[in-house]
Amino acid sequence: MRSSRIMCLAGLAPIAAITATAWAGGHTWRVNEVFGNNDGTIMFIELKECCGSPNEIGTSGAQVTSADLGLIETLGSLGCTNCTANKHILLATQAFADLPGAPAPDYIISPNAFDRTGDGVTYSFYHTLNFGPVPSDGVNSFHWNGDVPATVSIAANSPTNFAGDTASIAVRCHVADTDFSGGVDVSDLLNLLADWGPCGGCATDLDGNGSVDVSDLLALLAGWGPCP
Amino acid sequence: MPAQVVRPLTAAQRKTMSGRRRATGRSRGAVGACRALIALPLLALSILTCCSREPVTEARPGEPLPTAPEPAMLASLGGDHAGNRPMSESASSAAPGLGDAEQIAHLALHDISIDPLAQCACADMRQAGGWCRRCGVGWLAGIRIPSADLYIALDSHGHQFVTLSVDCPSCLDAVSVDGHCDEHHRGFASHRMYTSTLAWAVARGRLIEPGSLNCDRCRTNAARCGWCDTCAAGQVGSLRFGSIDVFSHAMRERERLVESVRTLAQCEMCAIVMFTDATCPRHRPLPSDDATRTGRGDGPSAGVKVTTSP
Repeated sequence: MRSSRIMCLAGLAPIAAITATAWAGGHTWRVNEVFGNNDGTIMFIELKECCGSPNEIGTSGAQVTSADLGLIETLGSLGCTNCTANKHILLATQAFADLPGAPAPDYIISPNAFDRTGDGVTYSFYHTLNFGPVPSDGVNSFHWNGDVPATVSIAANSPTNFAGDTASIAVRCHVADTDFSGGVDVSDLLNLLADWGPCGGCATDLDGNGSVDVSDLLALLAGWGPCP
Repeated sequence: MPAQVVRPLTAAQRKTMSGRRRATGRSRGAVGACRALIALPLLALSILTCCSREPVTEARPGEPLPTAPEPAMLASLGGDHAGNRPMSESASSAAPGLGDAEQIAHLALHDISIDPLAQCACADMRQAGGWCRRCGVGWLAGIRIPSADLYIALDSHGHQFVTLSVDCPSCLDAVSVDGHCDEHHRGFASHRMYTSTLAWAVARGRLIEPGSLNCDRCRTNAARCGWCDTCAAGQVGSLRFGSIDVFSHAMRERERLVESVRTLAQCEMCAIVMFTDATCPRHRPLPSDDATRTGRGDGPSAGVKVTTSP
């Protein structure tokens, strides 16, 4: 009886030998760009392999996190070897993915995945991009300047996915914000007046009836002011 | 957990087990359970013996354990995190001189699995640097590192890189002189790139066997770290440095590692970000340390919110 019990306990040891531990590799990915529209439905985070290293493929299990809101995404395997030098990984919301012409995200994240009023997005424990209020004009994003400590600059968004597909998106904060200024103002009014009359396909044809008319003017006035 | 296959017991085993059951009067169910407990681990052990040298990409605790990649699988791994669009495989591009063998070697260097049945390698790793699978600790510059994440973050083995892919003039200059690019915070030694200053410092040393040293002072230094004016060489453990500047830098980095290991007790992330370009999300700004340490991740971005954990 005792020997059987001992044999049982001894037999458990090999199972205990297999333990999951930390993940390995993927050191040189950096948070390169962050974008968010005024209501957080269209957001993306772009990672970039910073250093020309071709085998940074150990991303499986690496987490992208928001300092304020927690886990954004856990990355998986890249599915390739010798493939990472200067590449990008794109995490974006479904609404971004649905935009015509937008590069297909490599990962879909939830809306408002990070705090648009200011946050720090971190790749694993290797790189954090801290930033203030995200540009809400629907065009500009925060770009990492490539330096250490990390600083950001504002420029037109340029999301790029792992396949290398890239495009710049423009998201109006309001349908009447035809110049993407982040609000409805005099310049939008002037644009509308300039297109007054039959104008199929015009951005100032806010109701899409093929003509810029009083209804469009009223819609513009109803949205007057900066976008929230 | 790797898949387990149950093989039926041999006739001799069954006879032996049956005899014991008659002698002890055990119930059939209890003995059957015992048979399974004995057979399965023995089988698992035989599988482990064959496969234990395969590099394993491990998940973080709490995350699903990915399949251990085998050489034939590395080129054919597809898909990614469940529920997301698969990564495109069209991006594969062969860098000159790099293939699956390099990839396997890369994974092996980063093998930080734990195996209680393995032999303790701490004595060797303390000198040479590396991970002891038995004890689950890493060693670098003679310092014991009880955190796998910190050990990985130190990037002790460095990275391959393709020179043509390096677009920073400062980095290219650093490559040619085994130097450091302060702008991008990368060090280079023997045509490998290091993302932590500690790893770069260690990489510029030469590993020697302390017993081979003829100088008494140098042998003492190998045990306690120090510089020998007679030999114009410094020892940081088993690492020998021929330049006092490089030696001094290595000593400073070693001290930072000591401080980092101490910090583990309070916050692992804080300990880790002392050597990376990240910020601890719970403790912003970072704890004070060497002012020359760049890469704290809390740079002067406009409107940075500063939060501190309770």
